[in-house]
Amino acid sequence: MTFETLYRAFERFTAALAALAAFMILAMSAWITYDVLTRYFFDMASPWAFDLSEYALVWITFLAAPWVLMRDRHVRIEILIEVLPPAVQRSLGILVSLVAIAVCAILTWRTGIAAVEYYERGVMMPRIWRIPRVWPYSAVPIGCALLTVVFAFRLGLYLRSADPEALLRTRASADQQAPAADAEKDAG
Amino acid sequence: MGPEWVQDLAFFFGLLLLMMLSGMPVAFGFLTLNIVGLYFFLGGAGSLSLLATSSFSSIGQFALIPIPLFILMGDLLMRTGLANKTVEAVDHWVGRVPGRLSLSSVGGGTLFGALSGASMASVAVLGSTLVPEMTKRGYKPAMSVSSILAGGGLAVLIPPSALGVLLGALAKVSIAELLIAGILPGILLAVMYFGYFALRATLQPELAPPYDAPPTSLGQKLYALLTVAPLLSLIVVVTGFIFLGIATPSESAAMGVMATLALAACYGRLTWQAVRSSLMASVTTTAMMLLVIVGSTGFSQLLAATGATSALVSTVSELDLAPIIMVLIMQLIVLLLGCFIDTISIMLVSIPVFMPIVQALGLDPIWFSILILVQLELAGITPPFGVLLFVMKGVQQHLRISEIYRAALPIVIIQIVLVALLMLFPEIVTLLPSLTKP
Repeated sequence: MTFETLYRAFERFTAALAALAAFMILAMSAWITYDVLTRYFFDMASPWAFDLSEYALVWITFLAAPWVLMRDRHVRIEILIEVLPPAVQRSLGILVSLVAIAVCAILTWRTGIAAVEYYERGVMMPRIWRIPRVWPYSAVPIGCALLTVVFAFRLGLYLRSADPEALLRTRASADQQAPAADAEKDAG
Repeated sequence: MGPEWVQDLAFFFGLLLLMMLSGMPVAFGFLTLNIVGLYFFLGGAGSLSLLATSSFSSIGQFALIPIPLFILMGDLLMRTGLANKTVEAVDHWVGRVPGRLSLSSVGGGTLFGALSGASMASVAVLGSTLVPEMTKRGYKPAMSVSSILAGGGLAVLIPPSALGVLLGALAKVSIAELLIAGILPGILLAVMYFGYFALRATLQPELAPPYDAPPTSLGQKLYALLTVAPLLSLIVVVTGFIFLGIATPSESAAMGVMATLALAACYGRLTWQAVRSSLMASVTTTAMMLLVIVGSTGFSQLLAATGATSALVSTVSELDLAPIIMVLIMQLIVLLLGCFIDTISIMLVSIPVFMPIVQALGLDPIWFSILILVQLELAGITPPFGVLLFVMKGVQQHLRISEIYRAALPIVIIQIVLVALLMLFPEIVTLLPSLTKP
């Protein structure tokens, strides 16, 4: 197994999770609309719709964040590193990746402990719609664990490539140009 | 060495600056600072459980739902080609006036411009599609580039604005009120832009030569209006529901998405490709923005827990400056930050520090938020360092940066006039929100 094969496989995996998150956004619009309409026209309350939306938002964020990081689309400031020579960019990138791995690992550890506690003590969400707190909460440790892995891959990218910033730039700009292209295609 | 809180604050911001300049994604820079800060300032690994709790509660909020949904709605409108239809219709109605294409592009920017909440992407997209079209018609950068940069400023003010929702969430003000409050300043700004472009094109016709567009008959105009009426009503309904208090911004956004899908289907434009790309665009920006909220919430907590916030607030109140001077200073800080960092990062760094000060001074937080929103956009287009100027340069390589600077200057001046007007007549901001209150 080479680094590239592993990288591609993991990217596909995170893309699938992001697609799941994207579907949740669509589903969320549907159930919120359903809730509003039934409340106005049939006087039916669906308290779960509100809670479910809040939990979905957490899941969406943490399911999609790893893929977004794979595509280097988390906002970052490139103004300084752009003027540095590639060799320095590379060393800086390695250092930053190492710090980020540590940060995400610590987060996984602390949020993981919290999740296990919620599970063992059987903590429920203090809402009308009572569900175990661990269900919505486990999105956080799972997401953090995945982010740790992505930063490890990023470290690998910085270690192996001579000009990693240029590589990341092409990956990020690949999907940024998309909207205009689509619009033109569809309008034509 | 100043008092302890000054050192703490200097340490926090120094570390943050270091993180940001090193090219670490901003959200993770904040998280690093949070972990270091909690560990060393609040004592041990146990204090990290604060972060474990807030990383869930800070984003599991119904009020944040418009972020993914507004972006999805805007993207769907753009990718299904419905937004183009709107610009065409605006174009028909603008008719044979001087600087027609610039006016259309400002109008288009008003209607759908930076729905994505990321003015950078919006400038990149509009800059790469509309500018060549205008150049082909003989428009000079003073008209073409200007109008794109102008459109971005409008889009953050006029709802639905995802950036407005993000600011509201960070500043902890009512998101519905903030969205409503942006309407009048947005319209005022649009009117000033229209006036400017029409005047400039009349005085210097060589900048925007009139081209032989086939004259549009009244029938064609009515037909154009008819084809986009459902689209326009969509925007009016989404905003109107919030305004009349029929639905929360989150509920309006959800219905807006459903209505957009239905409309696109009626126009025969609903493709699987468009839906999929829009969903992925929405999920990308959402994950980015919400992760940044996780980091920033931790940062506010840290500032509050170490006592830096309250010390700063009491020091500022002891300065005994007129509130208006403080507001000017805070706006200047935003403008300066804008030289180096992007819109979202500026909000994250400044809002947790500014809002307690605003509250201590007894200012209207909604009014202040709108000022900051205008200032954020202004920061992006102010030469020499505004980020949007470089984005424009990126998509229009053949333009010299000095040409882009010159094109941005009038837009900067108009926005400064707007800020001055909003400060002199706060009613422009506060009128509409006050109407929604019983």
